[in-house]
Amino acid sequence: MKNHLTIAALGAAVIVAPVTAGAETLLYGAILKTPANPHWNAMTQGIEDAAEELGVEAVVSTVANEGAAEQQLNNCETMLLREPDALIVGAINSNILLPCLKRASDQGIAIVDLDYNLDRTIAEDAGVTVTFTAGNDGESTGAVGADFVAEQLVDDLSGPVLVLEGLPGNPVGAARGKGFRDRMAEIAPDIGMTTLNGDWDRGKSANITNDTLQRNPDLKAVFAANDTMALGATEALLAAGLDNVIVVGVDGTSDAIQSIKSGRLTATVGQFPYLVGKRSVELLTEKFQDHTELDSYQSTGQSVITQSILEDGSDEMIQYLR
Amino acid sequence: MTDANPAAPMRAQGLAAFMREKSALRLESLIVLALLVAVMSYASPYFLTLANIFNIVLATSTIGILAIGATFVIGSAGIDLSVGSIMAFAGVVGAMVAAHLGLPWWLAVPACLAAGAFAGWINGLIVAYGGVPAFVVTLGMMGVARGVALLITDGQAVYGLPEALIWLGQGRPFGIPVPAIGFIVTAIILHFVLTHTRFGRHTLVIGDNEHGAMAMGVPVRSLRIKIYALSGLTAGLAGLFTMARVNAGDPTAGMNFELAAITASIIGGTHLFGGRATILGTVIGALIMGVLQNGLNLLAIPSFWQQISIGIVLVAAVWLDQLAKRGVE
Repeated sequence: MKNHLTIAALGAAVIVAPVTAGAETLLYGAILKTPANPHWNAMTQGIEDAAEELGVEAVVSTVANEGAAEQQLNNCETMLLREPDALIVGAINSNILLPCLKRASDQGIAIVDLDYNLDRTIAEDAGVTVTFTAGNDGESTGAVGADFVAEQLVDDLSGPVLVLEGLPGNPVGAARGKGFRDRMAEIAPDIGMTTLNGDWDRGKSANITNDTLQRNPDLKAVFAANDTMALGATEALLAAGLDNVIVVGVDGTSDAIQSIKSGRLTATVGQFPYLVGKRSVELLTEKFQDHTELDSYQSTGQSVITQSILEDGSDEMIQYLR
Repeated sequence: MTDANPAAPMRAQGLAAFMREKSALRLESLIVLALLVAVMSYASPYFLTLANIFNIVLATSTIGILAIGATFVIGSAGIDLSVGSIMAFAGVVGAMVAAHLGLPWWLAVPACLAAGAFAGWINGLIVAYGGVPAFVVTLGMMGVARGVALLITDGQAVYGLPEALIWLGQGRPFGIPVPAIGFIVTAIILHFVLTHTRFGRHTLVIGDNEHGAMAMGVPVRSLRIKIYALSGLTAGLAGLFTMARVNAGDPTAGMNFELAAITASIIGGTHLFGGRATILGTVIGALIMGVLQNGLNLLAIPSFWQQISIGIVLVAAVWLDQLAKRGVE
């Protein structure tokens, strides 16, 4: 990992996983986001591990930062020159890669969408055929978070609850927030909820939490669309002397896990990006080698991780934490 | 925008008069802040409470400390685009010292400051002796400092700091958050440095007229190195408080904070092309941004509006300044 990061930190990187000899080795090209985000590192690991296990070849390309959309398009064009059997795509936005993916579709290359980053309607209008989407859709993730929060607050479902979404306009953060609010409103129609954008940033989320406490000193719970924001909120609450507010994040990053272990963050809805990468390669290989018909949406599983689950290991999913 | 021959009044009236003119507080920013406070107090009953005022100063402290450093740089007719990245780099270095290396926690403090000042010193060295424009040098450092922060942490936040270090970010002696105290103390010290030391006066002199300053015998190069090192040092301090506050050295912290710091300084009346700057003005500029964010959060207004309103205030503040100047003439 360290090596990959070294290269990637200096710009775009193309990494070749161990190659299995043989003329008919399947080749998968992964077009991912930035290794500066641990989520994509875990994804890369999953892809590479599965490729090695199954004897297929995986080439992973990454970009310098979350906004490097054009660089990602260039990576995609370059990847096509290798004539891969499939592209595994974590698109920076739903539009930028479409010209490249259209060419891939025309050449009969299978396309896997990671984490619902492609908008299916837009993609199909552009003539792109997505073989399957792997990961968890944001609204279901938000709903899982809402179920957990409701369980914790069962004695008093009046709120108030703070919902932190990501950067304004980011569909993943918005979908997670919406999923949370919709399910929460189903369970407790009268619960008070406020939604603000934490911009995926720790410090900003800490500020918002402080501001919200001015208005709602009786804050009961915070649901954040990722762990970074949840951790910012947690530290702000602890600094304000409040250790009984439920805080739930999304992802399962290593710092979130450490925080949960030490009793600070309440829980996270684990997304197991390692498993998303691994399952993508496994499913693709089934499709090519066994000619299996695949469902268009492949849920790779998510589960709420709490201190007690980490202590007693009662959820086997935690083995996929990275 | 400046006088036709900026060096002329300096020679005629001497340095003291120059300083009176160039470091006078512009009232426009104070009026904008007062208006905002009035509007927010009317709109939200939670706004004008002592707890919320501390809260605003705490939320403003990171951008405010960065903006104070930026005020020296911009006042000297320079620019520093690297402070957001340096802040993340310094925070990561400090967190690693405290959490991974098993060293005493307090070493994180000099580690953050030294890491920041070192990066700033490199900026200054290349600007002063390399003849490379500051925009380019600090744009490069923005990438390098961020990249190094990601590299040494493997892209993962350094989590789990010692309690004593966390206190620097989360502690509240007498109810006042420590970073807010740090912000105020930094502002007071650097206000005196800017107005009452040779270093401070020369900073504005070279910002006003570099050639004139050279002719006067001002050591322009060594001064520039010190100015950028100071900007790095304040970025290191901001990195220290942020890291302690969120209990993690986050290599992705401080994204775009350099622009927020420049915005705060300009709203506060710092002349974008140098020669005029006040620390009090910058503090007010940072508070305007903090009050806007806090008020809109209290009213639960989406952050699209925060971006729009800060953009409008930035342009309006500079425009008001121009109008006032024309009125005087």
